[in-house]
Amino acid sequence: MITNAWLPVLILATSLVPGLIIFMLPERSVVLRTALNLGGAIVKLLLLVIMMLGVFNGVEYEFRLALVPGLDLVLRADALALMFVNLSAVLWLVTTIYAIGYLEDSPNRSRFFGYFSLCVTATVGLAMSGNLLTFLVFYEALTLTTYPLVVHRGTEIARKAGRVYLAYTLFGGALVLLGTIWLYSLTGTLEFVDRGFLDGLDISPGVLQVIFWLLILGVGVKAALVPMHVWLPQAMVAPAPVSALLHAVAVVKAGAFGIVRIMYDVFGIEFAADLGVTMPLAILAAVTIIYGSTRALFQDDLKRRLAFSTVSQVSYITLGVAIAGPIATIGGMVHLVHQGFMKITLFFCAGNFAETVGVHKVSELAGIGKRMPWTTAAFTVAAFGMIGVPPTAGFISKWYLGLGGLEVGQDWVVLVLAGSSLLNAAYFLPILRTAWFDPPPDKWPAERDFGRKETAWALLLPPLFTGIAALLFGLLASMPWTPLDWVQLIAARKYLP
Amino acid sequence: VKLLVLPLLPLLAALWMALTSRHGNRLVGRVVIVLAVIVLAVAVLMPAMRVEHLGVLLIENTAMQFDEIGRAALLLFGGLWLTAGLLLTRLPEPGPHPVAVLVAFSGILTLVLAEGSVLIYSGLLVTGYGLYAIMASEPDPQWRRAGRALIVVLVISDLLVFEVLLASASYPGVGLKPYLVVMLMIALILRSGLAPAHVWLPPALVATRTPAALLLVAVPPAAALLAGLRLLPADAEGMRIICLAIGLLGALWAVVVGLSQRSGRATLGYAVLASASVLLLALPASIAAGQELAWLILAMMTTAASAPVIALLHADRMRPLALTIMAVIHALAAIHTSQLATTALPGWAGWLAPLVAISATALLILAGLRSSNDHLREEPESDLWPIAILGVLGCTGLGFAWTMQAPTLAAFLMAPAGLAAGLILYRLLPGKQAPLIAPGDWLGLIERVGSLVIDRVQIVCGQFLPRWRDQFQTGLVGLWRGDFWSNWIERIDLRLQIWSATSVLLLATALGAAYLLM
Repeated sequence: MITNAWLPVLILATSLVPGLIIFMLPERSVVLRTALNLGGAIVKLLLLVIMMLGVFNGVEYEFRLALVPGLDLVLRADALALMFVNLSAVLWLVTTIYAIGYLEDSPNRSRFFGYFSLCVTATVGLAMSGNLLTFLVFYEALTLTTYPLVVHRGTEIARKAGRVYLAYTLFGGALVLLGTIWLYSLTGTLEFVDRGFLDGLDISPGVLQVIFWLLILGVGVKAALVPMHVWLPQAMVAPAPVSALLHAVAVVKAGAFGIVRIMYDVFGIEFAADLGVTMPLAILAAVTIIYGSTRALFQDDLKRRLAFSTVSQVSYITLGVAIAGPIATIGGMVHLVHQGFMKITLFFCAGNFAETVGVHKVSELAGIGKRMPWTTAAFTVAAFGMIGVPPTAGFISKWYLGLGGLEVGQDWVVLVLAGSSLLNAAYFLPILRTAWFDPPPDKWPAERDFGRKETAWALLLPPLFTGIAALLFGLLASMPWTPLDWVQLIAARKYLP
Repeated sequence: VKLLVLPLLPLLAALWMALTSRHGNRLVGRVVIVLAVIVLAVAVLMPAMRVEHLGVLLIENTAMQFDEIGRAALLLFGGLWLTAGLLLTRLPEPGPHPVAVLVAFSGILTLVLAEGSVLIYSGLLVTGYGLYAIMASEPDPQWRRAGRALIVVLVISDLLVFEVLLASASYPGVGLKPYLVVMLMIALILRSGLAPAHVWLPPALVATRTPAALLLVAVPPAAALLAGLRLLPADAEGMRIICLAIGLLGALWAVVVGLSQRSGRATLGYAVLASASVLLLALPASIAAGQELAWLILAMMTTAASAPVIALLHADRMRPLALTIMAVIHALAAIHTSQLATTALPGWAGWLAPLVAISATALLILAGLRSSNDHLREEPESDLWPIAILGVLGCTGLGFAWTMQAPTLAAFLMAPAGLAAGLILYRLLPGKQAPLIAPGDWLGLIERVGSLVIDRVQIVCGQFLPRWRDQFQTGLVGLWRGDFWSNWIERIDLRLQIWSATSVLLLATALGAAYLLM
């Protein structure tokens, strides 16, 4: 069906076309730029709903464009792809609203929103990649479209952070490229297939292990696996909407999503386990979880603390996948969505604190709950989610990860989760304590007046929305059409015959 | 639905409070009173029932139940919050944060009514953090030391409960393995204020005003013991030993340190430790049929919680009278509990339980009498209503416990011993200016060790790790610089001496390409 083939392309176009138009708009065209941004995001969501209903009922959406004989550019919307596209689309809309408020009156907004849209296009393309080549193309496109956002402020620190970001991510891209070429030379195909396409081929296990690590470490750079995480805390010089996008939707999640794809659709989880690569990956993820949390503990800069928290939290996804069991897979994949909502809430709130009262450090947050109760409430919900306190979404992820670990006899996973939760509590609870219970200062560092409101509506509504979502995803997890429900559908298709 | 509504009501009230920017103590107190009266009415009027498959929080075995244990618990917590509400209406300065008070109330109601394990976990969590927030909204900055200790024990306890629940959900139908029972016991002891995790309670009571203090006195031990009744298996190995050891050592420690205190509030902290130790000793005997212990928890905890309220009564006649009545109820309940405990204790330890009970009552009397030395924080005098409510509930608990097992003559003979011991000790012990052992005893040691560990980790994270990161990063960024590569090749050239490194690299590239193309 033509519609089925073109829907993935249309979804891409909903952010690509507005992005290209926005580049050409003058700075003063605020209304048109906003209309293009929001219009594209809303149309993308509508198309997505149609595709989700279709995929749920077994319809296949695939677009194929032959590049060279035997190598196609493939966009395919399966349940896993749609989960990530959905996350990107919803959070793109929310982040766009936030960015409109955040960047009000600041220079180079057309450039910013142009790259912003291209970044989402690359993310959506990566999510819908039907083969490793397409994945690689969008993976590199994502690097190139996010670099201008990281250096958006144009300061020396921003440019330095941008250089570090490029160095790491291009290095990761080079590893993926090498692994992809090597794999193609051995198999003659790069198509993503449920349960992988390598099982049964006459290829030396040693070679496959090397290819596996090339690919995983390549995408692991974006997923901030230790020791390739260094770019992430430095990229915090970017404006808050960019930080939110990097941590919750685009770059980091693209890396984690890449790990999921390679594990399931290139190698196949059972075959990867037979190769003996899942356990080292799980251990690497566990080390990253503990390391990130420990580093977060001693950061006074709020965004840096959140960045190290991301290093830790994103590896839950890797851990869940590497444990290689259906329940752990559910835990890992649902955390991709849950962490996105929780982390974007935290970054929105950090941005609000900075923009409204000029507070950037944890030590300056005393009494902020009295000045900005709604923002602090959203921060509280998201922080509790990160710790894994019920009934927030984070609890659901940790519950399934723990159950999954026990299911396959990997009891140590529960200890890692417990240790991480302990550290999460250690670096989030003091923030909440000082925010809610310490007396506020006589004067905030750089307070802006918003009348009776605590801050601008465009800055306040996004964290409230995502914070409430993070709560409801936990409380109503067993309801239909929640992230957990969708992930269970994915796990069933990946594991059941 | 009826059962689900009960914990949701305080949450809705909390939401309303959060949405309204200005709310005085009077309004908050009245809201708390209304909710507490509803809870008490439910406890008195509603028949036992069970609701299955609530469909919240994903877990299949989510269920709520209202049985005799729940009835006793609802009376206890409804009474405590009612008393707190009455006191709040008279508090001149801003009281505990209303959202914290209501959220903690919701948490404890969830815990009481929960049958499914995840709901119990949620109840424990919400109650714990709610109590922390109640403490943290006190104006006296001394709460911080206690708060730090409380939050640490809460988090560790939560993680242990989480692991136990995970394990029990993974192996359904098997029951809790012995190591899980031990973990659960540790978790409950940590959050109950029992030794050795009691260190936060005495300093917390010193730093808080009466509405917060009465909740801190009674809620943690009662919540932990009730959760124990719900979660612990009847035939668990190791449970008796832990209960015996922690109960006896805790009571001994409470007596030693409690006697050395000077302020009534600090002594009360140790009296609560002793009372909770008596109840812990009785826990193994009560798992199979916990109603009796639940009623005794009601009696002992309401009387313990009455101590800070009694201190607010007019000093002339009412205070001694109220203290005497409460101490008598407490003594009878404690002795009854010790007799219950004796049935599950080894023969050699049988006589120790009554001794612990007597010491708990003695410490409570001492705390009540010493409260006259306390410089109470400009709190208004209380009328008789709050103390009357607690007294009635204490009598109710004792009465129901007696209907299940009639009191013995020995109980009536032993009960005055605790009262007498308390009075004598009050006369004998000198009124020192400073306590021999600071409230919270080994809290200072923990703080020193904790800060040492944190300093060391901070040095590693702040100095060593960034140094390694910079080295790694320099190398990685260098990969994209021509001069780095030329230097590197130059160095290889010098080392190889015979071949040029460029040739080696070309050869390696060619071999690699050939291999890939094969």
